[in-house]
Amino acid sequence: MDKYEFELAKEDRKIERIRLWTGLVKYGISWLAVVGAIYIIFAGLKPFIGQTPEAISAFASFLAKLNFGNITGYVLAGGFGLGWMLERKGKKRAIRKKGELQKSAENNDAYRSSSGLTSTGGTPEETNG
Amino acid sequence: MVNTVLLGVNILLFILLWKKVLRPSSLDDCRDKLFDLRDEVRAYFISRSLPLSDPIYKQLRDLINFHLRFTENLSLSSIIHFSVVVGRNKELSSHLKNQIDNRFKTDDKALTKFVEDVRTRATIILMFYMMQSSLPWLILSIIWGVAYGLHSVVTNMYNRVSFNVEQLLTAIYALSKRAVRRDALEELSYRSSNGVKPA
Repeated sequence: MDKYEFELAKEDRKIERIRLWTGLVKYGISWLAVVGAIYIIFAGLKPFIGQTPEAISAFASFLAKLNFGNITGYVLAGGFGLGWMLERKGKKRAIRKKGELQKSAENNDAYRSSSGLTSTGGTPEETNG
Repeated sequence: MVNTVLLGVNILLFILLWKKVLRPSSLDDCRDKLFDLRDEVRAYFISRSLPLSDPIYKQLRDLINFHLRFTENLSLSSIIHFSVVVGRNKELSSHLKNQIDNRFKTDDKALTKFVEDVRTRATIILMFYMMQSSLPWLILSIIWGVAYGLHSVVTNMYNRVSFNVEQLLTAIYALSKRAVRRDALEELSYRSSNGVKPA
């Protein structure tokens, strides 16, 4: 190992530490946001807890305020989400099929090195750190 | 009360959208561009009747393959850190530059130009993914893009409003280029992609 390789190997370790820490911070922020969102939802739902007349009237008022626009928005977003999921499933299938065809078309090319991605274009497990 | 509940629901939906929809789509988009670039390299060699056994072809294809594997693990912080380390150490910086440039050394001027173009384009593709997949960076880019757009509109107010997308992309690249070195990104890509070192 020459001095440059030694220098780079030291950096590899530092970079691995940076990756670990930034990964941990991102993970922490994501969970903090999820917990925060759930807390906000429950804080908003607090007046409905219990079977008191006030709770029932608050729930009725909540339903009344959920206007047609809000509901339509969520239905539209759900529709787009479902459509995206189906399209993505089709795309993954197309990638797999295209990969197979390309492999057979370029079979005579001895210098055709592979990207090493999975058959559906995903990151291979050993690289996915 | 309704707004509080909906705010919570919307935050959850936004997290879902970011993690499960936008980031995977952005990753696929970046990889599609790299695959197109790899096909372009192959087509170039065939069109010029250069053999696919040419070491330059192998090196270029390997570089793009490393980038393809590296994309998902691309982290803005580690690339900037590595770029700073390489930038500060002149000896290491020139060693790295020579080492990478030697992999693509050829006497063919047209090929040298093509290799340079492919390497730069591959770096730009990775940089754009980095910007798209990092929420803080994306927000900064949007703010910067809007500011740049407004500046263009104001400066062209009495003439024709020419909001040139290519100019915007070039300017974003120039900004990112200050923070990220191409040789550092390439070396990191080589080192990070499954630990495989180039020949």
